[in-house]
Amino acid sequence: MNPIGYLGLFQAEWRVIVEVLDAGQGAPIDYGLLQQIALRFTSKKNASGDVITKLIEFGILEQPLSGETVYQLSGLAESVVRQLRRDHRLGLSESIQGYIRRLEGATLNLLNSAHAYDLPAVMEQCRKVYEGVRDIKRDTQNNLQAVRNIVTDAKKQDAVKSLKQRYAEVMAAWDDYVQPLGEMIDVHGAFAEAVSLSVERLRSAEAFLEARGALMTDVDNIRRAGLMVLDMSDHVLEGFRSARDALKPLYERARLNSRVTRGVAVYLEYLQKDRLDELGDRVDLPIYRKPGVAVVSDNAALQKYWSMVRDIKHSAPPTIRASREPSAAQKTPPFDVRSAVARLKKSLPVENAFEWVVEMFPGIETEHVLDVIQNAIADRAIAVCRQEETVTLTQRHVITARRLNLEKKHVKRA
Amino acid sequence: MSSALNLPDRSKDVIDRLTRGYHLSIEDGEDYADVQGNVDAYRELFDAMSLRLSDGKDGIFYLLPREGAGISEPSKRLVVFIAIFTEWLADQGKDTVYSLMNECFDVRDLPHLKEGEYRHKMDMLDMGTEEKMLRAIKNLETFGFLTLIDNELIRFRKPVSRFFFIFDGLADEKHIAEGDE
Repeated sequence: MNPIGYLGLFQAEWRVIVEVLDAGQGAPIDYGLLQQIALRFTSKKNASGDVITKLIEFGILEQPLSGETVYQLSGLAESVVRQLRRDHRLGLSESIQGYIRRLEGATLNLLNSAHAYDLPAVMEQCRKVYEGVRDIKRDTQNNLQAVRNIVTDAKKQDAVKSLKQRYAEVMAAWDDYVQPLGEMIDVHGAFAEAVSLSVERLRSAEAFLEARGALMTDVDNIRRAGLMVLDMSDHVLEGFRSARDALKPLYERARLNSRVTRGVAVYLEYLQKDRLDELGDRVDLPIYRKPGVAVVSDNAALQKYWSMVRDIKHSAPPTIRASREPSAAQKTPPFDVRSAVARLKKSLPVENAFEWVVEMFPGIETEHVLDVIQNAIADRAIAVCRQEETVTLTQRHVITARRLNLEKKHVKRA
Repeated sequence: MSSALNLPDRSKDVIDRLTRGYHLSIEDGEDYADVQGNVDAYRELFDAMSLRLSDGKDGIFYLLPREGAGISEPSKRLVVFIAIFTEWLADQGKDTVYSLMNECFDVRDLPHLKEGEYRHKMDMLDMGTEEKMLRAIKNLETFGFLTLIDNELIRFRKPVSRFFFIFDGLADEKHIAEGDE
């Protein structure tokens, strides 16, 4: 093959070549379509046939099946187009294993050749190591770019592909590439072991030849090969980390979206068939609802809390006694909580605060009992000690709470 | 001898909200921050009131019902409402989780009573009228799952992610047709 002719033809017929790749989307196309494509980019009708013939002669186009008039780009041509257009396709994580095995083979042969002092064979194996390193780095870079393309594609608002398809690609990239590659290049994985072994063999060969007085250039070639293997290893690790970091947030989002959508479909199906019970409490959303507490005030929960009360229930309803006298409530002024607390403070120490309030102010509403207790607890001059649980009866309620032992708090003066 | 009441700053407001079934999240500003910064104190506080505070690992604080409380019909209705919402978004080719958390929805455009299949499901849980559906929406607002703007626009809040966990838990369940084979 004439390389200059190849490159010249590639450049001259670039548009035809790209169109062939896009028309087939990687698959072969028939001769009719090929002719149409060539005709589109040539001014003369007969010239289209010449273009196709030249592309075939130079190996840019090939027939994948002999006897059938279908054509596709050769592997090299397709690779060049994709590289130049940054149109990367995600490769298999296992492809690195193939390269690693070749690398191991090359370093073993190199070591054996060194021991046999076969310097031409040593150089040949060095060249294979260089190629192996280059292939792995190229593959890693290609895959990283492919992952980035998948991420960019998935985030587009107006993409041609459906969101479902794009998310499926994200999940496939993670499950089929990132995750298996991560296991492979783990510190205890096959990749790390192979790199370590290869480097060890190269150093051994280098030391052997140096001791035998081989030429500096031969020794340097082996030393360089070792450094290239280590550099390749760093490159692979960095490429993996970048791919993983780029893909992970989107993978988690795609995965959750997929699972939620599927879960909803299952849920609605069971609901439709009135079989939700079969799913048990997995479909329940536990939500706290305030139980029906005895109505002491509008803010029963807070009052209970501030008064350190565990529970309040209605007691037996009071007996109604009709009276000709004006209602006692009309004569009685509002309960003065502040005075009650002041009186409590004068009576300290008090062994049972609830009992004290009920005894000192018979007939007061439960709400007022709690008000007094609440204020007493909050008073800085009163020390509060909670004792065993006890029950206190008010006019209409049964209060279950810790017995509150109140004492004067001695405040130290500076 | 004395027990000092060393309460977090916003405990009154927090207790009030949580005991109404409200779900606190970062959108609730200082109330959420107060709980997050004083989780142990609040847990002790609620323990004393025989109440259980959630662990907050999902960025949401709420009270759990008493053990053995059972599945409530209102709770079922909320799950069905969100399930229909989610499927509707999926049918439009949207990222359901992302859409639910980031978009606003007009109540008048909701599919729950418009599409026959969804309407039937709403009927099954006695939500087959506009009034009852709106009640469900208001319940969701009461519990902090969404904000209802001018009775017209719905914007979901972070706590709605609790529903996602329910559906995620069913993702590996077989469809009825598969299970009956």
